[in-house]
Amino acid sequence: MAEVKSGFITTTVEVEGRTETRVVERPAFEPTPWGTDAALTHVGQSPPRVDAPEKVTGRARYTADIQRPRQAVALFLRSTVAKGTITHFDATAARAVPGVLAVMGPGDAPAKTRLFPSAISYAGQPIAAVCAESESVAWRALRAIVVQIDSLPFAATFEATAAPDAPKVRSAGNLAEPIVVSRGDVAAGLAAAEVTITREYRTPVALHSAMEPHGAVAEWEGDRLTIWESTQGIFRTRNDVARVLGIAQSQVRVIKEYMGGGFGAKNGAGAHTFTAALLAKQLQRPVRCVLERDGEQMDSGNRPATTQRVTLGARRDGTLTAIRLDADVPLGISGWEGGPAQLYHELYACANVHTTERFAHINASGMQAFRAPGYAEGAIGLEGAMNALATTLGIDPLELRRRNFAERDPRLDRAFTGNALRQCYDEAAERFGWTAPRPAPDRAHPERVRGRGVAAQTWPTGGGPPAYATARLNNDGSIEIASGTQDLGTGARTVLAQIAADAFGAALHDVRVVLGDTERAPYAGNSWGSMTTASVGPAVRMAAEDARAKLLDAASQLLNVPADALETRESRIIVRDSDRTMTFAEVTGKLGNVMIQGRGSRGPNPSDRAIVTVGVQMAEVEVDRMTGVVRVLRIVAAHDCGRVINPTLARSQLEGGILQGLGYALFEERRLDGATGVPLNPSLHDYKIPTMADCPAIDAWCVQNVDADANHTGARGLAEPPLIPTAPAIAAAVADALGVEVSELPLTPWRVLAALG
Amino acid sequence: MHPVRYHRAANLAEALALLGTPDARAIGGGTDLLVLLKEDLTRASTLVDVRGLALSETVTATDDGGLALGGALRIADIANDAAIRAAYPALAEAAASVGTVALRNMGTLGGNLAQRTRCWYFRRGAPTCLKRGGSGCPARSGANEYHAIVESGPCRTVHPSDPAVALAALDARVELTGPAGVRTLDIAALFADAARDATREAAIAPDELITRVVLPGARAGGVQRYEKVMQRGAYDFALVSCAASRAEDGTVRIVLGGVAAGPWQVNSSVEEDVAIGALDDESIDALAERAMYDVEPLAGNAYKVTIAQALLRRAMRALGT
Repeated sequence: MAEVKSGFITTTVEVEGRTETRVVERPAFEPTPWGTDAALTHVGQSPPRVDAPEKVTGRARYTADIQRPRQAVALFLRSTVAKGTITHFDATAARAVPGVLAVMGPGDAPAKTRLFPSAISYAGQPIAAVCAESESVAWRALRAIVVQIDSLPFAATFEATAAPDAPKVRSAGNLAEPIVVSRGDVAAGLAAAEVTITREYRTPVALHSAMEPHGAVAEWEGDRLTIWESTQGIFRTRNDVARVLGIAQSQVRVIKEYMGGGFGAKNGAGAHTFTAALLAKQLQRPVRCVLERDGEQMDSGNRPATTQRVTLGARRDGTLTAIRLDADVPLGISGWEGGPAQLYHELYACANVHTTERFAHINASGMQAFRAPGYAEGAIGLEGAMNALATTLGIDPLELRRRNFAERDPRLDRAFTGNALRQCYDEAAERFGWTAPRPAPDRAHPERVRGRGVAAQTWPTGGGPPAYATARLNNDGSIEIASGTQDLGTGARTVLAQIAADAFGAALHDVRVVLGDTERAPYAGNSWGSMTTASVGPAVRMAAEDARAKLLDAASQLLNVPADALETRESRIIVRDSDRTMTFAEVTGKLGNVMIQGRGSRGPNPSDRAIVTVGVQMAEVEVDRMTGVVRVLRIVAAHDCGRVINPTLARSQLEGGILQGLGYALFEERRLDGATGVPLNPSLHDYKIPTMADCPAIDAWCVQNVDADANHTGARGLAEPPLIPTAPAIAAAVADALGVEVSELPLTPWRVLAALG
Repeated sequence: MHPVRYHRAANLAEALALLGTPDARAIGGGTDLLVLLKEDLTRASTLVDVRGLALSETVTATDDGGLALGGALRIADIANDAAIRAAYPALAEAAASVGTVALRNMGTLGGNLAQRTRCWYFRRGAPTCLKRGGSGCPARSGANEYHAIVESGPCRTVHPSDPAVALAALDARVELTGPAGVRTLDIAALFADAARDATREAAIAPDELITRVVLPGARAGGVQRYEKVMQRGAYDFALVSCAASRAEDGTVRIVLGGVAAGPWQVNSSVEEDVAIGALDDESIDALAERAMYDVEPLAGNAYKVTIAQALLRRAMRALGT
């Protein structure tokens, strides 16, 4: 970092694989990094989630549980055509249903909200909302609305929207300019290759399927609006609402106490938020708008499908000489360019990489980030091709990966703050028994064949500024840490309490973490991109240390010893080399209502270093060659995320990602009817996520590798990485079992049987 | 859903009288009916709860050595009942493979047989669907991985019941009680019009109730099996299932589920060849081919023929070697 007098500094932050340059405030001080030998009491332990009692007793209130006095209910009417124009809308009968309070239809909402347009561009798009005294009244009123839509030709696949005579999906054009990223000379790399393989892989549209659907409860008091929202970003939601409604950010308060999952689909205000806010204003009563399950599965975001044509060139010893990708990605009606290419540039050392991504818009619900967007899809292509290359070369697929290990970030040619991928390879191979002889085939059931496969991952997990936290010590010795971040169910509340307890030298039970409220806590960013621990953790640590320094200052006056002779441990102040101690409460009790406060902010990232979480997974499967049914027997997973704050919660993240990846591999696929573009399986029966009966034995851990260069807590992110290698490892295991690749996900019985011929 | 009146019938006569009123529907566990009502796929103004009627939740021995199962018997009770497990293990296995623990604990035998098709065109309200007021079958040219490979009528639905497939292989008869008294149907007759009837799959009149399902003593014991192939390890309907029985008298029944509008019994000549026994691998392969020779799969479900043949081979190996 250059010497500057300014209180602000420029740094880079990687969000969901995209690098952003930010000007951020320089923290007043940077705590000394917690290195490998840091004496930590709570960090690294596995206390139960601090909110476990609330959750298991049902006291925890999720957005869908919020009940305000006089609360009304809003439900959406959705389009059953993929493209068309509303020519007639009559809600007279709906308004006449007793208990109906309001109907909003085409033209009724301010243009900025983009609600209820008369031009329909996908099936499942909200056409109108009914607000009523109860859900059952709203349900009946929806069915009394008369709508006529003139259907128009639509395009719901990449092929259809890219065709020369395709219907216009978006006025700006159906196809975006292709994104081409290149390093080295891929043609020369292919020419230098001794072996070349080419494969095509297809991945499905996957749905987030969070247990808690999208939803908001809105309540106005005068010109001030409170919104309870199931969101990954309370501040972003606040700012979206303020901008769209044309009111000041200070007039909007967003609260999210507990949450049943987001996975990338809940990053800001949505149609339900604006609908609840507008109806609540109009009716002057609180309004709840929570999606029903079919609405959630039809229109709340998705991981887009991809077609990936991959060519790898290598020498006979396995050294990669070229990686080339051509990918087609149909994004839906909206979405950002979260394509599969980035992983191709980052996972392996290869001088010549060329990727082309073609993004298209189609008449289907828009994409949203979904846990490791792009990388999960890209791993199917890259890792599938790597396994095929290993087979072609006759090299063990794990050994092939070792030979192409990237010592430096190959995309930007910079050092890693830490990268223990080889340690992950070693530990996983040991615990999986990768080199152990295979068990003999089951003679009684020769049709049941077993296979094993491996896949690796990388993912940017540095986090970064801005993120703020405050600490305050009450005069009874209790501590409140406040940060405007949110706990999606990941355990952030617990992890931040552990960090604060160690930074303060306090007992864990004395620390309460307040988050999920824009009025009670300072800014922190969205909980996305595996960023929360690495972004907010350092801010919380700094706030706690700032307050602790003031506490020690006060204690030194009371004890008449210099502050640097004092230590804190489990909420006690200890005079070093003596038996004199005081509890925090004894100190604060003598201070009366003097409030000891600390302020923390996340400092800049180290310049020119790559901060990633890496890992490897190995899968063992059994396939019935006669029925095509695949069962995953076990998954072994080793990841490096720097310091682990709470091993149990880390393991929960790993298991959750693995199960989501298993669903992506075997079951999950949004289906649209080809003739109408209507979603066919927007239910939790027909959209098949794994059940407990599908859970394999999972052996998952994080390797020991404190990363004090990433930030001063030594921890990187972990949320998204474990999803990335699961599906390609399973696909590789199936290919190993069958002796033939199944190149389209999910690996359903019909695809397995078709591959067997 | 629309408001409904709920009655818990005190006795069969009261239940039948209530079912005779317009828009009345019998409800057992409600695991399908409540979903149909919430998704606006059926109308009802009155729900008549038939659980708790005399003998409706019991398993009783019959004079011929068989068992009579009450119409409101829970699926979980069928799976766990000692007498059923001893005499009709194929039925117990089929019941154990239904849905999830919660669905088995709530769902009843009568409701399981009377449940509506899971076809996603029906469930999502495709306007051309025969069963949604249209006259065609959008699955024929649409997404049809889960649909029938056997022509049974205009519609390509498959019946989702697991127990029905086992009951068909056990020559079970269904007793329907209505205002005119009791009539008895075999399983094939119960689902004979499933692909033609626009309003229902099982031929149960609106004012009738499945009061008993009777399993004949002649098919108790012997060799029985039920195998279900599904995508997930639980909470799935069968892609293909196969129930098979060899009775003490040597007669064989082999029935497939997931391939036709109702349980689909293979050609009797195949069953007779299996009954003769002493089958080697080659003859088993030939019989499995023959059993499926006249199926007509759609673009997306030819894989079901492969699975069906695999299940037939396994069943024949268990019964005929």
